[in-house]
Amino acid sequence: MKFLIVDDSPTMLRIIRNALQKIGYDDIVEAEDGEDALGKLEDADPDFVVTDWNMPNMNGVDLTANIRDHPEYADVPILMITTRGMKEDVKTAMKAQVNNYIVKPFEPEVLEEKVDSCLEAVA
Amino acid sequence: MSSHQQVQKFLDKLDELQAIFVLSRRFAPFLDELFDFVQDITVLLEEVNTTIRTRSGHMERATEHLKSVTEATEVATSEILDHSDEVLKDLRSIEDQLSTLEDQFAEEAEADNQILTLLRDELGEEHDELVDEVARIQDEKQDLRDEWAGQLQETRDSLSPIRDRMNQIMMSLQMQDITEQQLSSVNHLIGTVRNRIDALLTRIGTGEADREEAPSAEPSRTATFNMNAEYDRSGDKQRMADDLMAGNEGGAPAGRENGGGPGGTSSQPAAPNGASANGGGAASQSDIDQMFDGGGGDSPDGGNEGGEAASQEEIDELFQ
Repeated sequence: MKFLIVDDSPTMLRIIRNALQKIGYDDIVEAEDGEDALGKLEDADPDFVVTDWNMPNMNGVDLTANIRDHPEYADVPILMITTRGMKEDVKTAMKAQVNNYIVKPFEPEVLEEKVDSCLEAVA
Repeated sequence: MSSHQQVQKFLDKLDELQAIFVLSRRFAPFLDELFDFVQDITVLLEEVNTTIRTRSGHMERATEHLKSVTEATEVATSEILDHSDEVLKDLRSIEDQLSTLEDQFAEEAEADNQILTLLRDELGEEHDELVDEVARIQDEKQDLRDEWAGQLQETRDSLSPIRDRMNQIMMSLQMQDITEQQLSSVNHLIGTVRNRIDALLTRIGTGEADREEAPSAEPSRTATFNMNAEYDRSGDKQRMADDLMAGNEGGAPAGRENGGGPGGTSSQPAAPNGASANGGGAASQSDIDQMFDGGGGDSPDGGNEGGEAASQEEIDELFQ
């Protein structure tokens, strides 16, 4: 299972990577924003995308919409991890078709639960 | 007109002229005071102007200080993560060593059993006493191994909470990302205020505020922040998000309720692609549409609900 994690914060990239490794996912590719992630999409060939919302160049919502439009990766599970915790934010993310949503700060158990939930949903 | 009338008219004009002189004499002190006042206020306005320009320069420094703080916390956070990684690596190494010792104990016990079996098989009954003595010694060795194994297990058990705490420390470092977004938000506000002051000073003809360097209202992460970012571990927001994702019109966290467009770059979500599959974990488009139609009073475009908190765009508009 290959993960593509997208965040403009090096700290968050490391934290998410560590949390994923802790729950048994070691195959991880990182991108620093949505544009970078789209550029790496085909080479990385991810089975799962974890993305932040607020990022330069291309934010997570736009990235999600782009992935959903991609002929090959339209069905890939997308989990958004963001500081945006308002109801409208969640609805906006849902409209962009993220599969699940985590509000920072999060616990590793929540990440595991959401990853499992996304995988079950697309299975 | 008769000569009498002409004289009377002349006298009337003289009276009017006298009245003007009298009035002028009365107003002269006031005009002097007004002149002095204008002179004073001009000096005062100059001072205000100088102060504004100086303070504006201070804003520039404040912005730079905030950026320095952000950079410093990022470096420090990275160092903490490095150290945490090292500690976790050391813990794994200790656990590996414990496992090696446990394996060695098991191998040694097996070897002792084989020796005892061999002695019983090879030596006759006449050496039972010797074999029993060897068995007794080996029992003592096994007791010691069992004791050590217990100690190894205690050591292993004590490592587990240390690893959990280290992981918790790493997760707590999410505060750096959240704090950075908060500082970026403050920086953006300072930059906006400063730009307004520049515009004001330009309008009143005194030029731009003192700048120590090129104008920079840009936060460290190019304005890609959430101004409402907060380190809230109550889990309320996550529960609200879970409710919505599950298709329930769940209760939003009490207090602020701000839709707000995403900060930074273009943020309007693309129209959902009906052709692309959406996992069952997320609500379907019809569910979402129903949610929007069904009410709850929320505006789907991310507008304010209840007006408690303004989005960055709304704040920017206020300053325009």
